[in-house]
Amino acid sequence: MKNNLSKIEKLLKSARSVSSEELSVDKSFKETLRGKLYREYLDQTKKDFQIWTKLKLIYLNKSFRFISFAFLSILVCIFALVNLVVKDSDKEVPSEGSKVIVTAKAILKEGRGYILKKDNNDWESTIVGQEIEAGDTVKTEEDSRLIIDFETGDTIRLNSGSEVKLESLDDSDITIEQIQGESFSRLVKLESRNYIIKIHGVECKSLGTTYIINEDIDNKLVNIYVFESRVKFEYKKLQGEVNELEKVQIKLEENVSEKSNLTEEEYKCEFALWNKSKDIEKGVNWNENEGPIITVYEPIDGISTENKNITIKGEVTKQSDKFVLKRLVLNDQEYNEMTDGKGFDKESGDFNIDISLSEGENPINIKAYDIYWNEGREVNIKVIRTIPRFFYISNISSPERGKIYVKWAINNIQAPYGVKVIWAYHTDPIYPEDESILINQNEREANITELSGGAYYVRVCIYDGNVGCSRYTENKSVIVKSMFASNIEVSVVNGYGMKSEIRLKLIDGGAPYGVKVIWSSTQPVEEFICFTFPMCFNYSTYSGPFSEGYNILTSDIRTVGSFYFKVCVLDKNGNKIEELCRTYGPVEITL
Amino acid sequence: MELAYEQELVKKAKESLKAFDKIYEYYLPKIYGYIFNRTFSKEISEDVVSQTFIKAMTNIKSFKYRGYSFGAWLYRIAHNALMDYYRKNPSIETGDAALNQEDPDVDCKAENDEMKSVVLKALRKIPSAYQEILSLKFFEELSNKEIADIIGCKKETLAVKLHRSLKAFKKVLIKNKYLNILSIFN
Repeated sequence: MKNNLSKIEKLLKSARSVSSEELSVDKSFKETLRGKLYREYLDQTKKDFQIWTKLKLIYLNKSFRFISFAFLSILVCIFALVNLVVKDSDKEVPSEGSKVIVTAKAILKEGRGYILKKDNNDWESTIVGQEIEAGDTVKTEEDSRLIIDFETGDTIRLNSGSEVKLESLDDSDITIEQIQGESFSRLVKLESRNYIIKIHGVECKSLGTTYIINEDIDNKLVNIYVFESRVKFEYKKLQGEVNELEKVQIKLEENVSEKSNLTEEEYKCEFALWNKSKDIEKGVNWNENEGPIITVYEPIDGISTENKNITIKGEVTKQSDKFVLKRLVLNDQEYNEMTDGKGFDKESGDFNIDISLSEGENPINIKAYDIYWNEGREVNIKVIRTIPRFFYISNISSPERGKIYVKWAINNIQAPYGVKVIWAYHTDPIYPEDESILINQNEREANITELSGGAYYVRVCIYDGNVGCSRYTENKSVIVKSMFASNIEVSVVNGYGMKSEIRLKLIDGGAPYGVKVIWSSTQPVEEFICFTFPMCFNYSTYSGPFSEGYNILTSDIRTVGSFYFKVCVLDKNGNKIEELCRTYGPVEITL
Repeated sequence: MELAYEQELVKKAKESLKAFDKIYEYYLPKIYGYIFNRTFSKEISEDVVSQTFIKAMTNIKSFKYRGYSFGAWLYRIAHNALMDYYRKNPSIETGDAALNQEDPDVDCKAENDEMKSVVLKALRKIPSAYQEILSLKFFEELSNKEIADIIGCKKETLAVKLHRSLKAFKKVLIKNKYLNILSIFN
């Protein structure tokens, strides 16, 4: 008997024929009951509130007004603090599928602004912690932002210069009219309530969690930027859905909408970043990770090559399956697709990219991003390109004023007619158009002299013995200082026996071809007397060369009297350089 | 549900809707199943379950652990709500009266399982008070103390009632020639 009862117990345990796990509770019943429970909770809360109000009335009699006010303030603070703690513990975003019973309270969480209560005609400054009811309108100043938290866990944040009206606020519906400006909504995933923002006739119903809505009054536009999940919009006959990382621009006058992908600038705009920081404060992550990981298979870092191009091969891997690879940036060039085996394959993460190389060191910088613009750690490698050189300028300099020294190398090239060294003020000097000198085939260096000052470009070419060159070296530039002074100073002093002493100061250069000194008893000195008639005896030529600094010349005047002097620096052809002429006098020449 | 976790949840649920919602999610199917097993009626079950949870919400602040779980407390509310329902609706057949009816609503995987089918049929043929005890004991896996508290009797009395319930169940098995099913436990 006992044994049989034991078996019956086993039978019942193993049967559990209509166990609760096997019974499926009707979904609509479940939600309806949830709603009833919520209303029950609200009723209870109202009762609690009424009790508090009564307490207040009791304490606020005349004699105890001040004390009771202080006492009540403390009580309210404690109550608020306790609520905050409880609320905060409830604020975690529930995982998908879990349910939260909707409560319909809206609290001004942070920021400055003004509120127009539904039964009031005057705007009042907002107070943090203030309850916002259906029918109330809230606006921000030009330099402030506001955060409104709903007890559902939802949040709307207003950018500066924005205004919203809380149209309805109950367990199944939060409807906000955005009168102007820009708002950001961060919502918890709730199926049991609608969250709608209306703006200029556009109705945006959240199917997701995070989006920005703004307007462009001048252009009659409404923009919706979806950061997570989806948003459904309706405007007159227009309707559609905006998916995660998409935006839609609704042109109000034309009744058209244009959908496109969010750009990085939009995803990381200042208002979005501010919201991100606020979300992080609440413990809500913004799809952030350390970004994709880049592995370069080839080339090896630091490798040398003589090739003009090189293929960069490697792989980008995701930090987690949730994140999708978006693009690869190699030396600031963006790649986001693979064609003909070249480019970046977002699916596999493989990349195979050809880049051209310059002579010398080529830095290669590789960055990879996922769809949330998370940037992985960038990879830097370098490739050195060496060019085989057969004919090139190995050394060039200007060892002294008006002079260029150039040295070149020739390997495996014949130059039976010698080489031409060519120079000019412009790049790529060519023979015979520009100045040049012919150098014997066995020589490997040359000096170019008597040059004017300036920056010169020099090349060497293989002379073909006729009218041209068959091959040129690369350009090399060199700066040459002028042989001539940039300025001169002159003074004359009477000397013994009618021999006056001419003191010539050459500044920043010399007088390589000498100077001419002219004297005359009249002022100004008539140039033609001496320069037009070679036999004119009222001048002397000093052939020089004279170097920079002071130079003392002795004149050859054989007459006493008062004289003016003119001193000119001469050019290669013995002509005066007008800007390097100076007069001095009169000077009394005596015995 | 772990007792420590349940205790923490109940503590929070006294102040937080969200915590209460977790309790609701966990216990709704259990309470619903328990009532459905008593009534075999979706309509009545929903009505009674609604009453149960509303009462639980309004009274949760008064709940204290006194040696039985929060679940047992909920079952007791459900039990009382069902009794109330029958009192207010005398025309509704109790589980006793519905003994011989085949239940078309039962969504049970045991439909093709002979053993479960036999147990179900046999259970329906014993008095509802016995059904309830066996159900709470073996389906809901409550302790004797919890069951005693739910149905409002002493623990010692419950032991006797449990024994009688099992005997009644066995009698039905014999009467309907279902006893041979026990051979699977040999």
